[in-house]
Amino acid sequence: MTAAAGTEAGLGNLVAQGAVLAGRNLRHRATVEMAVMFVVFPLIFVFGFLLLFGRLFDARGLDYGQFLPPAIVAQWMFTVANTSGAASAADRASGMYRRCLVMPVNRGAIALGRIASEAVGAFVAVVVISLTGHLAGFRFHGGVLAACGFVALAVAFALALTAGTTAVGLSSGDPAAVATLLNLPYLALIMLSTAFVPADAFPGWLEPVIRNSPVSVVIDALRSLASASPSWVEVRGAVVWVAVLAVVFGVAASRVFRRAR
Amino acid sequence: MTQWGIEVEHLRKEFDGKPAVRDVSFTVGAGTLLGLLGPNGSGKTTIINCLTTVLTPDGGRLLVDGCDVTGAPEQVRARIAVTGQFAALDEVLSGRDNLMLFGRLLRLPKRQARQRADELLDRFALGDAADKPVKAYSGGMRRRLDLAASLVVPRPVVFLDEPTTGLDPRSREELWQTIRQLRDDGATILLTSQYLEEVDRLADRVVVIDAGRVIAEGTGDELKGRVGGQVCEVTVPEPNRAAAREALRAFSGEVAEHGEHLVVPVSRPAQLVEIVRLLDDRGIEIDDAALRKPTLDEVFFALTGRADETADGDERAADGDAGTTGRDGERPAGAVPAEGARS
Repeated sequence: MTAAAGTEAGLGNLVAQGAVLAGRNLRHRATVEMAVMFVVFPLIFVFGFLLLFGRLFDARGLDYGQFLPPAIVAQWMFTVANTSGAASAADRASGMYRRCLVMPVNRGAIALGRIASEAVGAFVAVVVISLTGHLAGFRFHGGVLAACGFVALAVAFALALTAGTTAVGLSSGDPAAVATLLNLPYLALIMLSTAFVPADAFPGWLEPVIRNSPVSVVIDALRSLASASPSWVEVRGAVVWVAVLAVVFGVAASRVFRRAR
Repeated sequence: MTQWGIEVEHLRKEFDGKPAVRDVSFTVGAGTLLGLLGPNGSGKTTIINCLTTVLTPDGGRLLVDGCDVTGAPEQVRARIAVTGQFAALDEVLSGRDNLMLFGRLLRLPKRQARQRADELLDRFALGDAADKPVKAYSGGMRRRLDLAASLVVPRPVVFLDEPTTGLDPRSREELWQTIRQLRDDGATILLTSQYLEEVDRLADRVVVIDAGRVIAEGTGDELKGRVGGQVCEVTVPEPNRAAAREALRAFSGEVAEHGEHLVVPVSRPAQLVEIVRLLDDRGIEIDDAALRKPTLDEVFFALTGRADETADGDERAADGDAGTTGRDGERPAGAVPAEGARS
């Protein structure tokens, strides 16, 4: 038996092991089901909703082709986060997570690998939906910088949500239960938001809740970033919400991470 | 190089106030194999989890290859190979990709990781299935790949937590061969098992634990000696067995029944004749009667005062208290695929 190899300490291990784990996480995403989920479903959603509501909203003077894709983006950021939570649960159930813990694998690399792979997943989803939206008339009217802001905000939103779903996934360890459980806040938050209809379509007493829900705030900021005159105030509101979610979920995730075995 | 590969002094660990390990001390000599034997819930996995830095002990001192487990966990992790109770593999990736993944995680360059993966696939007779996803593997193949995965970079100390649980006899025999090879290569091995036969076949020394305490320690032969030198095994066909059992009880209080065999401890070889005569006097027909050394099962029975129901009973049950939430490291029962079904 050879002598012990190096320990897990150091930035080099963090980066290199994080990259290896991110690559492994992404290979899980590169399956047929995932391709269907991340390419075919957004297509169906964009054109399905457009077909259902497009003419209805056109009659009201709302360009639904421009209105809808940011909502589908937000929806898919949830999907990225939820599938990631289920993947964390699966890693605990299969013992993969445990194996990493008893190997000289930098503790931070496990988190970094998750963050990196979900960032790539979210980025791909945003690009696919934007291209799909393009066919439906969606355009970035605000220029390249605003378009980059659009992508960055969406990805940041996905990562903040992922911290939360990781906390749930790691503490449960049951992928099927996690997937079901995470659908509840996702559906509630998407329905009770400006995703598919403007805030004034909701009953008056509900409107303030709808307008200020993090999902609405993020979607409205995405719409603003795609518009001809992006509003800094709207974007700032979304950045604050994403930061708050990232801190709260990040703390929860790191606490679970230290405890989960 | 220390004299001891593993040192455990007064280890204590409890979960929510319930003690899982009460006060366990033992040592494993460098380059030897120690069998940690005990029924479900006796604390075996908790001990392994403490030694492999997964759990923090509530008390005691643990050294692995001379490194303190609580003081320098990263040093310990760089010296150990761990194969858990359940194959911890990536189900989506192929066998080769799993081994490469772990090699890359241990910072082997890509080419070397691949070379090592191929070597291990060969050694563990997995070459034919190298490119199949692990979810298509049988139980025995998973276990072999799991062991291979923990050996991608050779380590001086190896932990094997019930490595053959749920395997068919042939796969078990193959895995035993591999474990012996590891020991011959100089690794210090701590192996837990609820199969007494397994420990008997592999271990240099045996520590028996029950309810979080060490109840016996020694070589397999020493432990067998504790029961008395020999046992008499009487093979009785039905319908005579109940009567035979009754008759033998007059001879010795401890009559164990294994299928059609009745087993009684004897102190002198001449007692074989006495037993045969006793049964003959009562007109009970028997097929066979013979003296033999006791098995570890019988030792276990003698030590704990109860039969080890777990060995051939619910093999998949976790080594923890019933209703464990997974904090002891066990998976919730619902999430455990029945490995036996695949093998």
